[in-house]
Amino acid sequence: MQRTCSSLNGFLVLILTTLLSVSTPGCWAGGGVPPELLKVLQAYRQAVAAGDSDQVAALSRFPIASNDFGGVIQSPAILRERFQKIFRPEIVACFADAEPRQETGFPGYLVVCEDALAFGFEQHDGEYRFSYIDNANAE
Amino acid sequence: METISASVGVGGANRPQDVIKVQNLLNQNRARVPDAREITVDGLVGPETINAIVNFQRHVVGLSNPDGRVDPNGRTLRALNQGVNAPTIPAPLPAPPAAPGISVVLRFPLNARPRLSYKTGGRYFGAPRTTSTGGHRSHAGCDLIVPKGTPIVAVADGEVIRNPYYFYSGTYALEVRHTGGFVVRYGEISTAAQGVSSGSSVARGQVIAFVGKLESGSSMLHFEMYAGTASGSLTVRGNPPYQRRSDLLDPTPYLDQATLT
Repeated sequence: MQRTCSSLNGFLVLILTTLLSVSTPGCWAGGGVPPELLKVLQAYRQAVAAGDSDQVAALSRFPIASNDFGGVIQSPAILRERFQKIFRPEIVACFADAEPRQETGFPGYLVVCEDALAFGFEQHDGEYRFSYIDNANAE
Repeated sequence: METISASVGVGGANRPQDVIKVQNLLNQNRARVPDAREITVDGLVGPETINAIVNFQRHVVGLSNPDGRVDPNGRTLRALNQGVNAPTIPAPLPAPPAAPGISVVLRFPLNARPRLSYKTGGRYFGAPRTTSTGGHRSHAGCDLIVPKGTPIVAVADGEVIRNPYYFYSGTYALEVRHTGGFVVRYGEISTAAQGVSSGSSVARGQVIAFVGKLESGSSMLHFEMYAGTASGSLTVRGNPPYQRRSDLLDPTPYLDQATLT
């Protein structure tokens, strides 16, 4: 009897573990964030905090889709031009501790700041890169 | 005068002959309900018919909590019959939907009505928009196209609840909770008027901000309204189709009825 209960408990733990590990669109990613993304995000955060537009560009994939800040960012040079406008002090502060999450309709992970601005990271050739800005307040 | 033998809609008996009568009446009353579409007359009660009843009750009967049901001797059936029997031309402006706290006619937020309508051309509430990757969402306010620097006035007495903050394309937004509890987001402004900041009291008609200019070169007041029945940020990503808080209102009927004094 004890062995049966133990097996049942093990089965339940397995099911719960499986359910918790499933990433649901629209939810905070929490512990389900891929380590490859965390590594890139750490470097990205440091670059944003340092105001290092070259390093941010190196961690980006162009063109960067954007519905704000002048539209699509076609090249590192354009990113450098718009860097101060995009990465205001409030956004820099946001990046310091915001956690990536998933949203329905976007294949990668988003860092959302000020409830409206989403900065997206997508995987290309096995590496995550910054590739997307979406402002939910955009016209 | 149409009559029905039993209730139609949520919790009703939904006898097909009664349902057909109600569906026909709803179609004949479409002009009285903003953005109402013709519904299928099939004698079956589904989401389309229920939604049409609810919208009619909210916009025409003035129920703040529509029950989605038409009763044989009820107000909704009387209102449906009145709409059919009343002369159709000229049609009055649609009554603003009943919303908690908005019992007064608003002051128009500008000193003159814009030349371009806020009900057409992508400026209207609900107009389609796209996300950066081509996803769909809906316009959450009305755009009042005016030159940069145009003064914006408070639509009612109230209190500023949030300092101007970044909104879109180089412009900012100001949030005011007006008397009665409804909230207005005055969007795409350049700056708040002197002395207007979080905690400030504002009076109806007082200049509170100035219209900003987008990077595209266009300028407008982007006007959003909320009933004030929810809490938290007004922008809520992942809440389709507007990506806004759940108490978002269509400002169109309020702007239609607003006065310039």
